[in-house]
Amino acid sequence: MKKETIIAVILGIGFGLAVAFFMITKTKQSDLQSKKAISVDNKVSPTGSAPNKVGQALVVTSPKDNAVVSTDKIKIQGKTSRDALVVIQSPADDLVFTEKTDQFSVDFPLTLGENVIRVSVYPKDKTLPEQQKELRVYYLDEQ
Amino acid sequence: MRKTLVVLVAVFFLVGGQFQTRAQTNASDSAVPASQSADTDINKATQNFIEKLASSVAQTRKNDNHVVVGDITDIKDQEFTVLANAGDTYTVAFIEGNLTKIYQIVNGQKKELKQSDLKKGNFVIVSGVISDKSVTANVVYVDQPYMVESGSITEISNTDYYIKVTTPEKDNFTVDVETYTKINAVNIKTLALERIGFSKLKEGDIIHFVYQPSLSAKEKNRVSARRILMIPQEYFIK
Repeated sequence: MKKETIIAVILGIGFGLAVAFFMITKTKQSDLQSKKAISVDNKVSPTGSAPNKVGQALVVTSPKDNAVVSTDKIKIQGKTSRDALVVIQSPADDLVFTEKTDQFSVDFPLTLGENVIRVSVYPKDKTLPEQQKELRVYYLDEQ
Repeated sequence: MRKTLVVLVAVFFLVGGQFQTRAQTNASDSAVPASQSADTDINKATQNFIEKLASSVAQTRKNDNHVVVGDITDIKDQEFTVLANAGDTYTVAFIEGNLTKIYQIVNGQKKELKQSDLKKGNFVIVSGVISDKSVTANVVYVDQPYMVESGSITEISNTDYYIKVTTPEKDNFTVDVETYTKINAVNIKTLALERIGFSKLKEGDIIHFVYQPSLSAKEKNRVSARRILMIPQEYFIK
């Protein structure tokens, strides 16, 4: 093999490796950025002694706030930390329970008109703060 | 020289090709052939389109099923104005020929009213066709607004039957316990709700209470409780 051919091969491999290294580094960076944790903006009420400590955020997946329904009962579904004490209160009823899993789903009665429903969660770990969500559901019987 | 260029280009594509394979593997976390990858892209695009369409339909339905809620601030012959909870003002028109139904909600039951029964200050839920800030009302419900709050008891008056409560947001409430106020306590072992009297409430207990906001209240944040749910402080130290 000629000397210039060997040099060209070495240069080519070097250049290729440099480009590959650059692209791999860039890909890793963009992977990291897309996987970066997003902080949850949740109404957390600090009552415990460790205000910066936050567990599983309370999420109410159903019903949506300001939902309009035509039945006198709804299913309230959501997510919270395991074994947390969940308190649901509205002008219609009070409900208190704990859930072994991190998800809950309960039937809840409605009164005709506006129903202000507050879901409060007291985590099992007492150092974690109480969390609350409030939603309005309108039960309208338009017959 | 030409030979050098050919070799250079060949080596570049060889290394570049290796990298492309690696990038594809990274993206999908599994080895997917190029044709399959294209199919996946088309499927994803179709799925996105279907999801957007479903979301749009749901949004339209939601808009159709929307209500305006707030206090009546002004009443004229064939229309009235509502200051909605969000702060927006809506003009609500009645359907000609008294076709707009008006009900008052009392104890969960509805009682039919006339247009002339509506008054300034009524809390109403208006259902109808909403266009920007105008509503053509199909049904108007006159309701009583209720609020829900919670906090820990900081003071109890056994003579005037009120309790002072500090909420997690550090707001202070004076809660009057009336003869009609129902008080329940959580059994810390079974979590069942048990009816209790005023004397069972203690400083440090957590209460959740329902009240009716009143504009004529003598003191700010002084409310009469309709219902109280008490969680004994022992639950949190067990």
